[in-house]
Amino acid sequence: MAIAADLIRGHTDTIILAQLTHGDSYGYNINRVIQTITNGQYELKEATLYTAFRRLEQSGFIVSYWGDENTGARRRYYSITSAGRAYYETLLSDWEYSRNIIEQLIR
Amino acid sequence: MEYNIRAYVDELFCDAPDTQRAYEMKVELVQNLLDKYNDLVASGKSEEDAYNITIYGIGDISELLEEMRREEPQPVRGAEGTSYYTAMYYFRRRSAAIIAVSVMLYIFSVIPVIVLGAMSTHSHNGDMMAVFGVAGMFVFIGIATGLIIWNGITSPKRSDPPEVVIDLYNRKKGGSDHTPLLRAIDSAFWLIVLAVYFLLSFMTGRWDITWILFIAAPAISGILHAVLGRK
Repeated sequence: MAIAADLIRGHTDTIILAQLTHGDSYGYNINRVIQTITNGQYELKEATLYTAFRRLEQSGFIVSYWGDENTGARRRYYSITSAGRAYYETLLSDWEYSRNIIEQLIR
Repeated sequence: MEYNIRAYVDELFCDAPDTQRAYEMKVELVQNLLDKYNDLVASGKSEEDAYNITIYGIGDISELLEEMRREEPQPVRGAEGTSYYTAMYYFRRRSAAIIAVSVMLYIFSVIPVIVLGAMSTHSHNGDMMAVFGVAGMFVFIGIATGLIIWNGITSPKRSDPPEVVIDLYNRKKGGSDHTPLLRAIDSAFWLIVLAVYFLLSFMTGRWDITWILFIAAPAISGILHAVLGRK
C-alpha cells in the first residue's frame, strides 16, 4: 500500500494540473475532488500538495491569486497557464508511453 | 478545536522564514485545514477524530520550509528596514502621537483669541491684537491639520497582513476608489469642519447661522469624493 502511494506520488504534478484544467481551484477543493474521484482511496498530504504548488508556480505552469470572498475565508486559488497545459499534455503522453511499456514488461 | 488547528500550524511555522510567501503559505494552509476539519465534522466525525485526521493529513512540511528558507532569504521589509510587524507597530504609535498632538493644537488654538482678545479691550491698538489672536488661531489649526494630513498620506493603510494580500489583489483589479490623498482628507475632515465652524463663528459672531456648516459638510465630503476619487 505504501509502495502504491509512492507510485502515485510520482504523478502529483499531473494530478494537480489535470484538476486545474477543469477550472481554477484551491488546495482543499482539489484534494476533496481527488478523494471523491478515488472513492476515498487516495488523498494528497498538504505537504505534498503545497510543495507541488510551489514548484509548479515557480516553473510558470500555474499562477495563484487570493480570492475575495466576503465570508471571511481567504483562499488562494490556482489557475493553469498555457505553458501548464502544454506541460500537462507532455506528462500525459509520457504516462501513456510508460504505462504501455510496463504493461508489456510485467505481464 | 479550530483554535487547536491554528495553534498547531503556528507551531509548525515557528521557525519558518520571515517572508511574505511563508506567511501566505501559512494563511493558506490554515484555511484549507479548517475547511477539511469542518467537512469532517459535518460528515459526522467527532471533533477529536476530525482534528486528528486533519493534523495527520498535513504530512511533513519541514522540507518545504527548508526550501523556502534557502531560496527566499529576503524578509518582508517595512519602513526603516524593520520587519513588517515592527513597521506596523511603529506607524500605529506614530499615528497615535500625531493625532494626540493635533487635537491638543486644535484645543489650544482658541488661546491666542481669548488672551489677545481680553488684552485688546485694555489696549489702545486693540483691533490689531484681536487680528493677531485670530492669526495665531489659524497657525495652530494649520499646523494641526497639516500634521494629520501628512500622517494620513505617509502611513500605510492600517491592516493585518492577510488584508494586505487582499488589498494588493483588489488594487490590481482597481477595486478601491480611495486615493491616498482622499483617505488623508477623510481622516481629518470632521476636525477641519469643526475648526472652520469655530473660526467662522468667532470671526463673524453669527453663531445663529454658522451651524449650517454641519449640514453642508457631508455634501462637501461627497463632492470631494466625486472629484478626487477615481472610479
